[in-house]
Amino acid sequence: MSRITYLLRDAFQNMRRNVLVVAGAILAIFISLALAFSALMLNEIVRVNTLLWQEGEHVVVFLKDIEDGISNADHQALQNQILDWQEVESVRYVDKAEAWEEFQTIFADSPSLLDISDQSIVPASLRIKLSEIERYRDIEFRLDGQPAVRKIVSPGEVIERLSDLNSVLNRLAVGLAVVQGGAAVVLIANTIRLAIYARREEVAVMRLVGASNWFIRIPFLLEGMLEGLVGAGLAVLAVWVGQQALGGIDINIVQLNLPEGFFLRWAVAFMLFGSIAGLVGSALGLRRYLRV
Amino acid sequence: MIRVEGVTKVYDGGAVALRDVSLDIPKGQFVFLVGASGSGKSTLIRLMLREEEVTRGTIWVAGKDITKLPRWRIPDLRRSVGTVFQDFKLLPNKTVAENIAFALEVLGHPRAVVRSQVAQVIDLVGLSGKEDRYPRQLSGGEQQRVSVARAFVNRPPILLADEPTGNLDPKTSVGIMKLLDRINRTGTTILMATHDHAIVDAMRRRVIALEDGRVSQDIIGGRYEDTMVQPKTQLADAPIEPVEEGADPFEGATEA
Repeated sequence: MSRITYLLRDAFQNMRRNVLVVAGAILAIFISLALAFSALMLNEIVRVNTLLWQEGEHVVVFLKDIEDGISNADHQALQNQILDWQEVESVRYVDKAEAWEEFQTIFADSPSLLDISDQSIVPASLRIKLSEIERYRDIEFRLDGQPAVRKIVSPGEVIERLSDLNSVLNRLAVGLAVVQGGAAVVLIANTIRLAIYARREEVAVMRLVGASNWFIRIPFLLEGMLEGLVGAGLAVLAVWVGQQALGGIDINIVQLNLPEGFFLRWAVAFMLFGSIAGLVGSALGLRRYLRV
Repeated sequence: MIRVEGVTKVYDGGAVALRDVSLDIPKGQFVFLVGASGSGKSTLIRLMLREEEVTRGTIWVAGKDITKLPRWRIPDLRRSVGTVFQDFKLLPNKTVAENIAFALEVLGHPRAVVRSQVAQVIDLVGLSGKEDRYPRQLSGGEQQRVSVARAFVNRPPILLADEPTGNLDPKTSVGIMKLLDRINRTGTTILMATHDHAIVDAMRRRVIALEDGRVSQDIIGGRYEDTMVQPKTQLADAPIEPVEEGADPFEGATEA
């Protein structure tokens, strides 16, 4: 026990001696992991939202009605036709009455609008759920020009643009994080070398009196690990603050809050990763410099 | 206790430090190792600590062939051999007590044991009352006492001293020698490399002289001058050394 406290005390003393260099190493780890972590969170936000959209209806087809010379039977025929397509999971028919109810709920707080409207202004529609969401363009293409079709709307387009942007941002962030992470490991290796240099007298005496190699090395390894851990801790804190700030923004269409468990799980993983990066860095710094 | 057999040491650059050196030091003996600078004294001590590796030959320390010791066992060797150097090698940011305790802490001894051992050895070297001073607040002789205390605190069977009085005035040197003599009386084998004629002459112990990497003399109860017989004849070949060496016998007593 006294041995462990001794080693820890030693590691802390080391860090106090080179505050600036240690701060540099911690900062590098922090930037690297904060980048990677926020990219991960962003990715998850997009994924969750995509899922939300996907659980809704993917393509909405507004239909012409009697006034345009299209009968309910025509609606029925189109629905059956769409149902036959293999990429379609289900089709729900919303008739004018149902659509009017929907309209009334949506505009419940605008009585003046409801006063001047009636059932005739809302069209019947087919709400299509796809089994393969990425095929929505084909569906749109096939429906376009059908006599009963008035207008086609699909949220799929938004999703696609969002995913594109997300994957570009992701690649950029991950690339930066990797470069920065490499720099962080090298920086830690350097701080450890400096620490060894600063303590060369002490290390020489330790060897002289027969300290084992591990006894000499452990404080330096601990130092690197602590630097990595502190950097990772700061990164987790920064991402948490960022997430709190985002969660406070109220945007109806996009879900910005992620389940708590997701954040916690990855926070732990990143702390672990930071410590390991620190350990690798200090092992690199120790190499060759601390042989008997 | 220490047995050197046919040891040759050639440094990487090709410099030959020791040539086929053999010697045997039984347990409890006090041995002086003398010779000019560059004669191989320090190399021999470094080999015994495995700070360098032999080119040829074998060295046994405390019953173990240390030339075949795996790297990870070297710390064990150093625990059984206390070391004292000319430049003390004390840590300036640690007090007397901390410097001595360091040697035990590093070996993982419990705090209570460390405290009592340190107190004992401080008493032994005569530094009671100065436990909390820093090295810079001590005289050279006192610093060397701390260094001896650190070397002896875990009671190693062997003590190696590389010119321990090299930086001390004669009077202070005598104090250190008395201390080493006392430690030797506890059964500790001591090998001390030195230039100090007065000390060698006063102690009348075994003297081993190295000359150009070879054992030139090995005299029980010898005096420094006895070892000079052969060197003097050879000095004719070495024009740079004579002034220093020739002057030594007269200045030995006041060597700084």
